[in-house]
Amino acid sequence: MARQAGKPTSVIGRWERNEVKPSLETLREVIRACELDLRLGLIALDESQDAAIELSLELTAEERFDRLTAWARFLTEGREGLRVP
Amino acid sequence: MTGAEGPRRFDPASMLEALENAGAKYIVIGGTAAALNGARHTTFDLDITPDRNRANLDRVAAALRGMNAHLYGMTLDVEKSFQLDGRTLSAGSAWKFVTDHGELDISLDPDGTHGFKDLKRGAIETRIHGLRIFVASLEDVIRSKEAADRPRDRDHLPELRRTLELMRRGGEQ
Repeated sequence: MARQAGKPTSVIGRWERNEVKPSLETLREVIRACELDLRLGLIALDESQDAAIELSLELTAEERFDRLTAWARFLTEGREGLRVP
Repeated sequence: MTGAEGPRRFDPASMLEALENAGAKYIVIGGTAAALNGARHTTFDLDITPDRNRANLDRVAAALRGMNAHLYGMTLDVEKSFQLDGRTLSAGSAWKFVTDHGELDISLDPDGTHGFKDLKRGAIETRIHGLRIFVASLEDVIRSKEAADRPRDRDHLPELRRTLELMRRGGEQ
């Protein structure tokens, strides 16, 4: 990719390691060099789940883990309950 | 009958315990990593990226054997000839197993990443019920799902990105 885009591998490595971010124009140049194009669009911001996400972020990792396990168990048992014998 | 034909169960704690007892080095990725990072995400399998050196893959294979792991969806003929060891695991990129504790997916090079060493840089160390585990960062989960670009990834990505935004705004990490 470095060769195609005419960029030093060190620069691409820094992007990959998230040390620096390319500008939108640079990103488009690199994408074009790969014979691809970048399509951008605007959509409405969806904040409908924010309150639930914020509550989730207040949990500890262990609480999140227990919730995940409990959800999966609940859904599994629910599906089993709905299964026609 | 293999576990693939039985009812789905998901007991990730037992899977993580087996991996820890075997001394395996790995990163939790995928839906479980998303959930542990705070996303409101439900999954029915545990996805991991192990360190790909042979000794470690032997430890992962030992943990899998201890959980009576079967290759997902394989016929008995294939199962019989399948040797579950580090050498076999190193020959593939992704494996899907059904164990006594649920489905365990192994991906040595998840989409959009360069595997264990790449994910380890951003991974978060945490403790779950006394088990020390490394979890892929939400940024890396998103990066991988963007690269995989499966329909279910596209469905989940907006909420994962929003979770990351709110996480950053709240100063978590």
